Amino acid sequence: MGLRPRLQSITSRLVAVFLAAFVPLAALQYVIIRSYCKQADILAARAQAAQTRAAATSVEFLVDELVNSLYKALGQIQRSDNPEQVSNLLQSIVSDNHECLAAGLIDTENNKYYRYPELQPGQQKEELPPSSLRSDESVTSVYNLAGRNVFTISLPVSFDHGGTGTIYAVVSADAIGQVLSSVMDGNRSAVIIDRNGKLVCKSGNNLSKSSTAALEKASMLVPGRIVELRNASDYSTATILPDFGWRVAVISTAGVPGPSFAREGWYLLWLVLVLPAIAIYYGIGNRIISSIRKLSHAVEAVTVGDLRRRVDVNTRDELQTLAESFNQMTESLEMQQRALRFTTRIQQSLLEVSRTITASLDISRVAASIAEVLKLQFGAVYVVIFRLDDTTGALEPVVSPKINTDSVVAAMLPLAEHALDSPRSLEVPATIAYPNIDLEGLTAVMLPLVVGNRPVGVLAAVFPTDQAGDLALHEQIEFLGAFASTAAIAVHNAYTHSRTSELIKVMDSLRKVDESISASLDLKQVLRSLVRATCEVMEVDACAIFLADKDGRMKIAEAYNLSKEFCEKVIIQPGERWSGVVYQEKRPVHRTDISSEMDIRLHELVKREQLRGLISAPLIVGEEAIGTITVWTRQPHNYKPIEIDLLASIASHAAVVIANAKLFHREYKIAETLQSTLIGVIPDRLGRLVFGHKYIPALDEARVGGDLYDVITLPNKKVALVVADITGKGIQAAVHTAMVRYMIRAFFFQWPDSPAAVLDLLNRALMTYFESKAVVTVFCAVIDPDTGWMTYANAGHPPAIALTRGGRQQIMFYRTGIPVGYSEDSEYDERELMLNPGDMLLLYTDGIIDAKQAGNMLSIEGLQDIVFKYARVGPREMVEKVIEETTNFANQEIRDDIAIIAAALEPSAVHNSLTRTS
Amino acid sequence: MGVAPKPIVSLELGEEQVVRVLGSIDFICNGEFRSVLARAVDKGSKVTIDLSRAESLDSSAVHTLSSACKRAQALGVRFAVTGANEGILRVLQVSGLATMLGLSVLTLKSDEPEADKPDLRRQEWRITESVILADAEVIGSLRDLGLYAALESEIDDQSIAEIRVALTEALANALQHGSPEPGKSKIILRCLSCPKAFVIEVMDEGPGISQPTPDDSGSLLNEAGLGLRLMHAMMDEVEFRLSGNGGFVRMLKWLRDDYQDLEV
Repeated sequence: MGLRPRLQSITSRLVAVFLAAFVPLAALQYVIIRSYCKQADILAARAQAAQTRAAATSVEFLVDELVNSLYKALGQIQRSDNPEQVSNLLQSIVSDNHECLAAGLIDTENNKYYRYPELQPGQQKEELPPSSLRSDESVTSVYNLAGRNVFTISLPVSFDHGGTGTIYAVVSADAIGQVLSSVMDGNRSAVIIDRNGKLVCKSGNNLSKSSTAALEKASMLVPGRIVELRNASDYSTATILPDFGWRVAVISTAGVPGPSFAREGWYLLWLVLVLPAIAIYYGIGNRIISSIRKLSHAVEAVTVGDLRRRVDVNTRDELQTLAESFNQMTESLEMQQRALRFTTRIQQSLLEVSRTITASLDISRVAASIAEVLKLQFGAVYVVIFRLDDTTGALEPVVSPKINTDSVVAAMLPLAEHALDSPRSLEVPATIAYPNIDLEGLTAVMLPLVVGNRPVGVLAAVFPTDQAGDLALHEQIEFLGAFASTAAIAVHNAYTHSRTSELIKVMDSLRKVDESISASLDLKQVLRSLVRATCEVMEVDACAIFLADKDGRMKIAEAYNLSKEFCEKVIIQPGERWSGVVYQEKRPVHRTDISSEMDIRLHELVKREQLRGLISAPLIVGEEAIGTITVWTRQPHNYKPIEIDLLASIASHAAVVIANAKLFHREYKIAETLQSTLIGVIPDRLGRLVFGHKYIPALDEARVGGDLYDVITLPNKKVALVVADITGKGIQAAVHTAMVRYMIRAFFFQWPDSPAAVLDLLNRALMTYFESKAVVTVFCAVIDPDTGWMTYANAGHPPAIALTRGGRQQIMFYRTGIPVGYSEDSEYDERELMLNPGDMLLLYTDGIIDAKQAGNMLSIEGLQDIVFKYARVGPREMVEKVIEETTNFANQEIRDDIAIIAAALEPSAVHNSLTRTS
Repeated sequence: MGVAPKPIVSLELGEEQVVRVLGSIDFICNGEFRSVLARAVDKGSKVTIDLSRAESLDSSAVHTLSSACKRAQALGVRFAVTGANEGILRVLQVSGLATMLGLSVLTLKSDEPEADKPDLRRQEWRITESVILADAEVIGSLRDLGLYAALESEIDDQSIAEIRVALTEALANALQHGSPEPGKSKIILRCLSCPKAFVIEVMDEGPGISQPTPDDSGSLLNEAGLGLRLMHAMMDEVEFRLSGNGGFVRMLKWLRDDYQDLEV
């Protein structure tokens, strides 16, 4: 074979090989390049979306932080109406958030306005959006202030002292713009538009009008979802912030991604023209493929949340740029996510703590939950919470959960005490401080708990020093500081609550005292309960109530734990120390140790009683001081403000109680005298009739009521029994009662056989003389003691009871007419019945059947049961038993008068035992 | 130290003043009740006291109510009480206020006035009531008291005889079937009389009687069934139900010749 054919054959083979190997390869390359372009587009779109998300998140964080600090201030402002405190709180909002220009509080109810910094003359007042109705909802609004865009965030406030208002913070929109700029790369800018379409802020100036317009129209945005807004000239993505309705858009000025024919064409051309360089090209292709694979893997990793992935591409072309920008993006995302994770953690913790506050006001539970949060969220190993005791100034551990607590508490205490003096959180390497316990590799962090400017305790937490957390410990401390301020409020609230419940106990005991006045009707008794209760509640050694006479000289009216000699000898002139000073100046005084004040006139007496620490508070009624209440300790004692407040509030309550008791005492004396003449003398027996009776005045209204009963011997030898109830209480009712009693007596003398006639006359008399002022229910009966024959009439009175048939039957005598004094037309029937020997008649007033137990009245049926139960006893015992049972039924609280009279017919030799049948 | 919800609510419906009572009025809140009623009477030309959600009134509240009613009459204000439950009606009845206000103490079918029957709501009822410990010896005395009440009401002899039979049967029934603990269980007899009607109510502690029908022939054969039939036959309206902690029977007889044609 010759050379030529061989060459030919080689050429044709080369051509064949070329065609067979490189043409498909070229086609493959073309496909790969296309897919690369698509991948690049997707990557660009993802980067855009990530930027949008980053922009939205950063703005959300900023605003959230502001809202949080508003909430924090809100909690304290609600309880306070002290302008100084309010302005301090407002100041702290401004200083905590450097974006915040000003903060303010509007008290709508009282028309008060606070602002920090204060408004300069001529300065424009903030425009606030209409306040939200929900207390947990913040409202934002954007407006122009002196040429700058600013926006306000406001929260509704409902004050504890009543009334509502708004608290707000003013933030410069520029600050948000700066935040946006910091998360944007060079090719993008961002814009925020509020729900009314107003521009809040923007980053950069290279915004096209059309994209802003597109954003304004983008009403279909869903929170959290990134939406693409494409138009001819630019490409932007947008999302919405759920809490404020703000639209955030990121506009890409790098151009519109999409199929780029220029780029594709260039590669195609390259492919076709530079075939001889196919080998080199082949190498590039491989590199491109591997780079794209790397990138696409990295993108996949990012989409499933792995933000640590970086791409290493050295193609020195667009791919490398893309990879670099991808790396930048993931790095910024990672930073964002870390910050987000921590902020979320903090927020969760704060939320959890605040949930505990509402769920429990028990201090140990609050502390336990704070410890829990620190352990779960921050990885603390031990947590000890110390509460600062107001009175002793010492730190006490509140809760020390989990193991070897005592040794940890002991180790923490000196550090905590040290931390309390230092204004900042204190970080001490544990290994240095505690060689004696095994805290190797641990770090203790002391966080002073401060509310307002007052320390309330220390939060001690121990962390592993080389904690494998996301942030180093020193970074955490910032967060812990924020956490501690919430924890402080929680601890303080719980503590205040425990004090408050003590106060409530005081009020409760005062209320009980209040009740005991009406029960005992005795000023002395009131004072005695008062001094004892005060000593118990205040935890002091002695207490005395000084009451002034008309010259202002004060004597001890009642004392607890003081010698008789002291009580008798101490008489204090106005202005004399210390009760005299308190009395004259009408303000409380407290002394740590009075034994050292040698110039006190009564020094010897004071010394003998060993009285040292003192608080004295004036008893003020209206404008006048009527005396003082003074407490002593037998050790020097530095009284805390809360103790002084406590005594002052006891004093204000006590003053009213004492004044009432004095007034009551006077009226009671008058009414009692009247009443005693009303009940009169009931004989034990009249012929065959034997009587038992009892009258108990009302406890509650502390007044003498209008109940009366009477037994009248009539001219015809018969006996009239009367029981009546006159409306009203007090002296006027007592007067009416007296009149009714003697009218009835007089009328019975005129109509000794007819109770109905008596009621009729009484009705007419009352209608004439009482001018409709009193309505009277009356039961009256006339009994012939010889025969047992009874005639009765009942004017709307609860039915009298006849117990008959050996205690096995009760007959009720219901009304035969309406109450007396109600209408001039009233008519009264009378009915008759034969009482048998051994029968008993029981007359009573409504105090018995109205006796209440848990809302249920004893009622007539209940009385019937009692009467059956004691059916075989005599009239005197029956009266005692009915009262005893009724009082027991009502748990000793009979609020109305009780009048009850029983009459038994004794057997005689001759009697007629038939019930009359007309 | 909880604060009890306000027991009294007053509303203004045009000219009408409505005072609604929620829960119980007793000594403690009577003062407020008094002032609310006084305001309502002074303001309106019509005052309605709605007791449909009231649980109980004690005597002081009844006093207050009657004073207000009295004042309303003096001022020419229409005064009405509605919706009172049985317990409250009883308290109102005891004081006589029920009659003044035109409230019925009966919750019979005949309570609502029908065209051919007299209105029982504004009747002044005379009440005879007695309670015994279930005992055959005492039951006779209870029956005598019921008869005495009928005699007081000036009823014709024929009706008296019929009432006597019905009363005897009802009491015998209560003693035999309504007294689980002889000597301890209680039997209450209440007779109400007015010129239009005579009513007998018997309450015991038994399981009550399901409403028997007069033509239930099976029950004719035993004595108890006979008793029930007799009660139906002797009285115009008979009602059985459970009330409180036992059985309750109420029997009504229309009085006067102008209503005798009602029962065919």
